[in-house]
Formats: sequence, C-alpha cells, structure tokens
Amino acid sequence: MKGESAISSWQLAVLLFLSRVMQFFLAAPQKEQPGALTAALLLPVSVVASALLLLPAYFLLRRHPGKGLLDIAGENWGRIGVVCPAAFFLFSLCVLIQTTCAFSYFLTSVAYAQTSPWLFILLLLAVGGYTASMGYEPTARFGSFVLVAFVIPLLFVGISLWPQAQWEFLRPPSYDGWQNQMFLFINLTLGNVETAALLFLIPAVNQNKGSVFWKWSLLSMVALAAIFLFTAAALGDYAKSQRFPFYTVTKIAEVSIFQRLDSLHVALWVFMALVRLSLFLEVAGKSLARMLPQKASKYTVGACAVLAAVLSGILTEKPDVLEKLGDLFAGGLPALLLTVLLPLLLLLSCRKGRAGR
Amino acid sequence: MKIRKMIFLTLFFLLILLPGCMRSIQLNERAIVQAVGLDWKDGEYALTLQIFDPEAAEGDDTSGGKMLRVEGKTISEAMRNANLKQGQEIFWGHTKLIIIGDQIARDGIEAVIDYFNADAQSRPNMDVLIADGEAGEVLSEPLDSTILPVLSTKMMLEGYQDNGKLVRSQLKGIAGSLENPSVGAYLPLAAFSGDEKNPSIQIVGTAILSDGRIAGTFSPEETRGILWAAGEVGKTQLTLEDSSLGVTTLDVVDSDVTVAAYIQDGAPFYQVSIRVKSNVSEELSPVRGLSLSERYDRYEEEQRQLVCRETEHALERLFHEISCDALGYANILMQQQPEYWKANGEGYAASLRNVQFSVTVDSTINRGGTTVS
Amino acid sequence: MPQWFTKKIKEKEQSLYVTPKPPPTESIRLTGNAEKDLSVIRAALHDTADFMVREITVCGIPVKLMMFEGMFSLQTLTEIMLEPLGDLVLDKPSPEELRDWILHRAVLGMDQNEVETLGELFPFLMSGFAGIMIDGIEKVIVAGVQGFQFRSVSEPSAEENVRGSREGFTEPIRINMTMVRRRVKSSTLKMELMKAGVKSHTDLCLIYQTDMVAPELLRDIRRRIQEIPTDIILESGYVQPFLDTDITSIFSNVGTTQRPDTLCAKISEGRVGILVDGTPFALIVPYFFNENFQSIDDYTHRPYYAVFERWLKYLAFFFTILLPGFYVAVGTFHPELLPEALLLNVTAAEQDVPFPLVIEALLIHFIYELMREAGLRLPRPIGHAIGIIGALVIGDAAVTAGLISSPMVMVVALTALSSFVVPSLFQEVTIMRFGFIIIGGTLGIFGISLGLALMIVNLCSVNAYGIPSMSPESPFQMFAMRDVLLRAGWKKLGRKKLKIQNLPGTEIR
Repeated sequence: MKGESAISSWQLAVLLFLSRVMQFFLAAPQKEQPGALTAALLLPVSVVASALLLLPAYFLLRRHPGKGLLDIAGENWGRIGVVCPAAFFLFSLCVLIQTTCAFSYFLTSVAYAQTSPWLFILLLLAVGGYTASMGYEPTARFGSFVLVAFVIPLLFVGISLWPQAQWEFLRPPSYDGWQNQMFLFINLTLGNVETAALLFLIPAVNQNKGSVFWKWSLLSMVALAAIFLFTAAALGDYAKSQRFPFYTVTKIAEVSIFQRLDSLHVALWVFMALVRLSLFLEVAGKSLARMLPQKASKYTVGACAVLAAVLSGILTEKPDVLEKLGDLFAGGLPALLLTVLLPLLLLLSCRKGRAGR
Repeated sequence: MKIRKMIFLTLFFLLILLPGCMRSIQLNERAIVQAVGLDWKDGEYALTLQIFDPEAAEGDDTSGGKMLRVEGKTISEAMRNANLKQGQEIFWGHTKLIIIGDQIARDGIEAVIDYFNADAQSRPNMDVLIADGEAGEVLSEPLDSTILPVLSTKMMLEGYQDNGKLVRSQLKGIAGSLENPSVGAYLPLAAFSGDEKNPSIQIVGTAILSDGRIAGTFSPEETRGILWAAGEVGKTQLTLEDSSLGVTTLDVVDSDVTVAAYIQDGAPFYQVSIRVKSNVSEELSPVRGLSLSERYDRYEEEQRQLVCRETEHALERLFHEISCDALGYANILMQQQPEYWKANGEGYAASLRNVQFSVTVDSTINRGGTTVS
Repeated sequence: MPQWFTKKIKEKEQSLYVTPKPPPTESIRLTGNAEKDLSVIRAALHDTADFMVREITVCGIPVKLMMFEGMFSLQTLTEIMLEPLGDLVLDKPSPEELRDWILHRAVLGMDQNEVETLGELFPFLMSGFAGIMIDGIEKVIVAGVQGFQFRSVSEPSAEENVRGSREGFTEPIRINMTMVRRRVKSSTLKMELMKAGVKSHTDLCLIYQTDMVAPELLRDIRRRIQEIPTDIILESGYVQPFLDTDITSIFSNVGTTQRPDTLCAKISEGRVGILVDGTPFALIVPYFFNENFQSIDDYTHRPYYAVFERWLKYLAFFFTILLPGFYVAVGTFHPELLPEALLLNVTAAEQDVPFPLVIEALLIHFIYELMREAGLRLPRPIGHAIGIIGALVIGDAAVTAGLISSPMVMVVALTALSSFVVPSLFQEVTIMRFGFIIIGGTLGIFGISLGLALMIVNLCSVNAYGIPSMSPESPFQMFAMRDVLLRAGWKKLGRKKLKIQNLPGTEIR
C-alpha cells in the first residue's frame, strides 16, 4: 500500500501505544492470572518474542520499500491476493466490535447506569469514523495530544497513591504456575492486535520505519509495567472484586480537594478509545477499499463504522459470543495468522517468483 | 458533494435524538447521603440514612441534615423504599461513613460490603465502623452542633495515626480482606456518647473481623499495639511513667515497621522490627542527679519496652487468642515464602495459633542541640 | 436527491442572485477626441454629481482635468499641477509634445500612470488621482494628488498592549504600507499591489520578505485573490473566506491584525501579510492555532512573565469553552466530582431554581450575549446603562427571583472574563460554548470529551497552505516549541530564525 500522507515513526508508535494500553484498561482480571510482578517481567520477554515473530514481515517489507502487505499480495498473488485485505478487514472489524462493546459496557457499569449501550456505540463510532475519515495525519496528531492527556493523570495517580502502596501484595513469579505464565506470555505476545495495525500502517511512516516497533514496545513496557505493579500495590486483594481494576485505582487516588476524579479519567479514556477505534477503522476502511471498485473507496471508512456499530449493538446483547471472540483473540491465533503466517507466505512466494525469473 | 452533505446532516440530526437515551438527574432531585447505618432487626435490614437537607442549610453553613429510616428484606429493597419514601434519588457519591450494627457484624458483613462495593457511585475510601450496639442509635443524635457528627467523626478518623487509640478502616480494605480467606480486618468500634445537649460519636475500641464476622475487640489502649504492628503510627504521644524517672511525655515523630517471614519448626515465624524516633516534649518530676544523656538513654529503653510490650500484646491477642491475621501478615508470608505458602496456604487461617513472632524495637530519642559529655 | 428538486433550487438561485460582472462600459477605449471621450465618461458615470472636470489650455492645447470631488488636495493640485502647467512654454506645442513633457520631464504627482480604457481610468480617479486628458491623445495621464479625509493613525481598538507601539493601521492602504516599510528597512521586504472586487476594484497589497516566504505559498495566495468573484470588497473579512483553505474547520487559518509591528513580526517568519484598502484590519496568511495566544506584549515582557501570560491564555481558552458545559455535566451526571463542601453549597443554591441546569446555563449565557451585543451597538452616551442593567438583571433580580442560581452567575462571569483574554477566538469560543453546554447537559462528561475530541481532530486535520495548523505542537518540533508554551528569551529567539515552511509535516518548501 502506498502511503498517501506521511507520519513520523514516533507518531505511529504513540498511536499503537495508546491503543495497547486501552486494551488493558478494559481487560477483566482472570481468576488464575499470574501476579503483577510476573506480568511486568514477562513484558520484555514478549517484546523480544514479538520481534522474532515479526522477522518475516520485516524482511518482506524491506524487500519492497514503500509498499505494504496489501500491495505485495496484490502483485504476487493476483486475484487470490484479495485474501490479504479481506483478512485485515475481518481482523479490524472484530477488534472494533470488541473495543466498542467493552467500552460501552465499561461506561454503563461505572458512570452511566440505566443508559442504553447503543448510545455509546453509535456516538463512539461516529466520532471515530470522522477521525478515521480525516486520514492518518490528523489521527496521528490527535494521538500526540491524547498522549499528554494520558500521562498527566497517570502521574497524578502515581503521586497520590505512592504513600499508600503496599508492595507486599506483589507475588513473586515463582508462585505462579508455569501454565498461567505461558498463557499470559502468549496473550502478551500474540494477543497484541496492534502488531497487525503496525504492519498495515508502516508504509505511511516517512522515516525510520524500523524504529517504530522498538519505540512502541518501549513505551508500552514502561507504562504497562507501572500500571500492573501500581494497581496491585494500591489495591491488593481488593482488585479481585473489581471488574476494572485500574479504574478503581483512579477512584481512590486523591490529593486534597481533588477527589473522585474517576469521571475525568473516563473522559480521558474516551480519547484513547477514539484513537484505537480510528486506528482500526482506517485499517478496515483501507482494506475494504481494496476489495471494492475505486468509486466506493471514499465511503469505506464510513461503511466500516456503520457495520461495526450495527454488529456491536447486536453482539452487546450476546456476551457469550463476545467472550468467545475475546478468547480467540487472547489466544493469539488471528494475530499469528495475520502478522506471521501471511508475511511468511508472501515472503516465500516472492522468493519463488524471483527464483523462477 | 451535496449528497454527502445531506447524508452527513441527516445522520447528525439523528444522532441529536440519541441524548434522550441518557437519564439525567438534577441536583435538587438527589438525596446526598453523608452517612448510613445498617442494622438487622426482625428479620430485615433497617437502614438509617443521614441526608443533606438544603433547606436547613443557610448561607455558609451547610451542616443541615435530616434522617431517613427505611427497612427491607435486602439492602437493595431498603434503598428502593428510601427512594419511594422521599422521592429523591439516593446518591452515594459523597457518603463518608458506613456504620454496621453489631448484629450484622456478628452474622457477617459480606452482604453489606458487597452492596457498596458493587455500587458505581460509592467511594472505595468510605470509612466503615462497627457500632457498639445499633448503628441507627449511633447516628440518630439530634443535630444541634454546627458540625455534623459525620464530619467530626471523619476528621477524627483521618487523624487516627496521630491519635494512637483508634484505627481507620475503609471499604476497599475490608472488601480486600473478604477476598482473601487468610486475612481478617480491624475496624473502629463506635458508640453514641454525650447527651442531648452535647451529642457525639465516640470510638470505644477496635473490632477484629475474621471471615467477615466479629471475632474480638480491643480497647482503645490496646489499639496502639495494632497500629505499631501495622506500621500506622503517625505522630502519637507516648507517656512513660516510672518511679525512678517520673512522668515523661514523648512525641513520636517517625516510626515504621518491617516484617520478615520465616518458617520455624514448620510454622510461620514473623520477625517484627519497629523503628521509633521521638522527641521529649514534657518531663514531670524528673529524677535529679542524672545527666541529660543518661536520662535520654533511660527514656529510650523505656520507650523500647513500651512499644515492644504493646505490640507483643496485640500480636498475642490477634494470633493466639482471637486467631485472626487482621494485620495481613499472610501476604508477606506469601511473598517471602512462596513455596511454603503454596503447600500450606489453605490451612493458614486455621493454624494461626501456631504462628510465632518476635518483636524488636529500635528506639531513638532526638538529641539535637545537646552536648554529650 | 431527486433531480427535479435540485433543478428547482438552481432555478430559484438564478432568479434571486446575480453573478458579479464588471460593467460593460469599463472596456471602452479612449479615442483621443477629448469632448467625445468626456461625454462617454460622463455617460458611463451616469452624470454623477461628484465628478468634476476643469477645462484648461496648455500651450494652446485643450486639456481636461478630471477628478472626483473631495478626493484630491486642492493645494497639491494647484502647486504641483496647475501652476507648472500654467507656466509651461513648449518650443513646438503639440499634444504629443505636451504628453512627453508631462510623462518624462515634469513631476505632476509622485505616482503617475497612463491609462487607455475607462476600466483602468475610474479606479485611479476614485482613488484620488487627477486625470489629464489631452485632446488628440488616446490615453489619459493620471497623477496622484490625493487629499481625501481619513482617520488619523491611532491606537488599535482591538489589540491594545502595555508596552510597544501605539500605532495601528488606518483605512488608506498607502499609509499602512508606509507603516510597514518604516519598521522593516530591508530590501527583501516586497509589496505587491493587486486589485479585487469586480466593481469596487479595491486595492490589496501583499507584503512579504522575499528571502523568507515560500514561492508556492505566494502563488497560491495570488491565485486565490485573483479568483475572488465578489463585486464589492469593503473589508478584509470579505477576502478572508477565499483565503481559508479549509472552510469546514471551526478555526480560521487566516489571521487578522491591526498592528503594523505584529504584521512585521509575522512576515519575518515567512508569512504573507495582506493589506486591504478601506479597513485597518490586515490579514496574515497562514495563521496557526497557537498564534491566537501570542501577542506583542509577550515579546516585550520578561520571559518568565510572558510564559505566565501564555499559560493564562491557554487556560482561559479552555475555561471559556468548557467551564459552563463542564459545570452542567458535573451537576447533572457526575456530582461526585465536586468536593463535598462545594457540592452542598451548589445543591442548596440550586434548590429553588425551576429549570434544569442545562436550561439555566443556556438562558444565562443567552442573556449575557444579548447584553454584550447591545453594549457593542449602543451609542456611547447610553452605553454605561448596559452595566447597570446587567448588574440588576443578572446579578440581583434573577438570582433573588430564583430563576438562576448564584453559582451559575459565577460561572458565566468567569466564562465571560476568560473569553476576553483571547479576543481573536471570540467567535469560535462563543459558538463552541453553547455547543458544549448542550452536549454536557445531555451526554455528560462523555459527550464533552467527544466534543473536545472532535474539536482537536478538526484542528489537526487543517493544513493551512500545506503547513499543519497545529504545528509545532503536533507534529511536534522542540525547536519551534520555544515560542509556543514557553517564550524563550531573545538571546535564543534572535539567534536562529524560524521559517514556517520548515515546520514538521509541511508539504511546501
């Protein structure tokens, strides 16, 4: 895919980072999940593993500078190449549905009880669709502001809760069984849906494309480790009774008259949700545009937003389906297919093509 | 372009209709609950709500309040009855105190804690107290004073670390202890005191909860031992009374505790190391003939013994008498001895009487400005 | 959309609105027959009463002097034109000789031109030039003898400052050009005159520094000005929409200023200034969002105070758009956000108000806007009555009657004060404020954050002439940030000059 507009490597890294952190804000704690210390220690390991898994994609894109996976698939696989945009479209649509449903559930649970989730679904996707329709650059610029809006409250929470932190709640890694650790490792490595967005959007980066992954990983590691450790130390066993532990942390953070700022944090998380939604709407929209005639390309982002809204509204009433979808993505199979298998097949087919010539 | 504009405008106006889906409640439609007392009477919950009354508030004085009493088979039913009785939507967002009656405390407080924990409005930082008697009686003094008992109680609890005779327990701590069967909790024990002219809520001790039920109580004097062991002593005052030294008051300026967990003879052993630093604030009838340095050495020793005594007494009562790890030492054991915990964690609560401990105190009196001869 | 419907709309448009076209008489060429040409000119001007003609004979050659009443200076006309012409003695008198003398050997006005058509002649005459029609010559010589009345140079009304020049632009474009030239005595400062307005032929002057401006930017601006279809241009605001690159954006990327020093500062960074005859408001192209928070005082005060002022302006901006909406949202959906003492006070105050918070907020802000607008339009002698009405109506009677609460009065007072701190964004914040009140009252903080996100995305999507409008905040550039949230000292600012085309994300060079 040829990038129509250019964004910097830091801008893309920030977008991916915000999307990644958002995922953990909405994640429900599992019964047998490993402790925060284990999770924090597994983060760098998962980064290294992700880097290794992305090697086929790295070599493939290096071999085709300025092109994306969709372009390469189209050139090498002909008509069958439509599998590539179709896969990205389906993947992004599922992420959109998950995010929208989870976030609307979050809002109805913590702030807006007795409100129909349709309200949040439609409004979020309308604004997300507007943002995505503007293109990469405005979304990336918006992401920079959201980063500042994210960091400042995080610091406030850290400073206000530091005196109350009880570090004895951090279980040592040896306490957690290896199966739980393995599942968490797979979740951190392959449950990382932003990797797919990274591969899709890399051609839009103007310089230092290779550094995007490392910048994003570094930001994510530091922020997520701080969030995991701090949530555990601040809440302790109380976290087990909370559906959204980090939200509860924001509830208890207070300094002087600044108390119960959780509603403000919700406002900031809306920004982050919009970043995630617009990121994947762009991926979905551009993928859909590849599958449809040229004339329809102007409307694909809007169409994806509408489709995601309708499906989210339907599935929000079917939590079992959503749970299965969540498990599927947490297990890592979709990301594995899209970010490892697909580039590997393309790489091999490119090599065959060259050998044949 | 025009078609796109029309589509956009149509969708925009449709979206405008959406806000009707969101339920808005005006400020004058909310009943702001400042404190709630829960009792179990005649097979149902009896709630006493202290609600802010704007009509009673005049100018800068916002201390106006009114009491509301409701009953229900469950807490949710009682709350629905509360809405019906006075028409306003109950608002928990600024509730400061939850007072649980002794009957509920004996039967188990899980239902109460779960209700408030699940409510999105309620604050995890709400103070929870156990009533020495009925919670409704503790709350229902006539409101003559310019400051609500709720506010004064809150201020009193916020100063617990400097008081040394009362503990503070919040909703999040108790809910956390209920999630972990190995640990208990400690809460302030409150009672109505004074008379009609000077009503007040008084903290009369500390209640120890094990598995959500009251398992024992500590007097206000014994409570400081819990605070030493939990590392929650702030700037309290220690009074040393010794026939050879006279009466000396020490202001504690700094203290902390470090707990190390070991396994000794197959049972947990806690090494509790307390560090205390104080200033001499008052010496009544000090013994003549001793130099300043000698007196301070003696004070340090007395302080060390006092703190050690109080802490050991508290630990003895908690582990061996009441058999409840209200201090949460189980988490330290889990962190420092994970293998032991994996094998024996489930039976920890039942075998607390086998737990051993040792208390060491590093006691220092500030000697800034004195010349050591 | 059904075709018959769009066809009907088009027909209606055509019947009501007329596309501006230049009058057909403007293309008429001069013949050289002075009498005939004069009668054609009178007919083209419809015998307007302010058109004056003085017929004189110079060296036996009939010459007609044309001018508009009140536009010329009689003293200048007499001294530099009539007297020399009256004293003129030519060796071989002929119309061509006379023309040659006027054009090449005399100075009958500093600005002289020759015109061939009525369309070229009229703008000069109507700008205060005198036209010299020599019988037998097919052209008219126009010489500048302007003497029309205009407002003297005074302090700018909309951009007052504590320290710095007290001069502001006036209506005549030539005087404004002089003010800029006096401040930047550099050969790189170029002024380019253009005309816009099919009928008004209003003078526009593009001012830029040739070593700083991007050629692509200049070309784009010239093209846009040349394509302005309006018949009359009375103010720079008529030109502004045609220079705006993104009409869907809430914020304009064309700025205005009344101050010559501000204009000089802007063009020294590669921007283009546009003076418009007849208005003291000059345009600055392109104009970024952060420039709304900069003023000349920032650069004359000490850096630490300038930083404080900047932050105050940023906070005031957010206050003025968000405070009422936030208050309504918090009071309706999230009262737990307020500290308890404040909540109790507000609840007690709102107890007797019959309206929901959102209606109360809209009502009070509407009344405030009414007062503000009335204060602008009222004649000065009775203008002070607005203050009394405001204090009585809002400050006392409405609160006592229980129509609004005193916290709401505080909110509107703070909001109004904050809006005056950033006057260049006055229009935008007023509309957005109402928007946020409605959103906050219906959707709470969730709606406000969506609205804020929309605003930021809208801002971020604007590329003013290929340069991101939110630069250098996003895309971020540390070097350029020295003059955004902070104001670096002059030792730093003066060392290296910023060119706007070097900002990150720029598509022009």
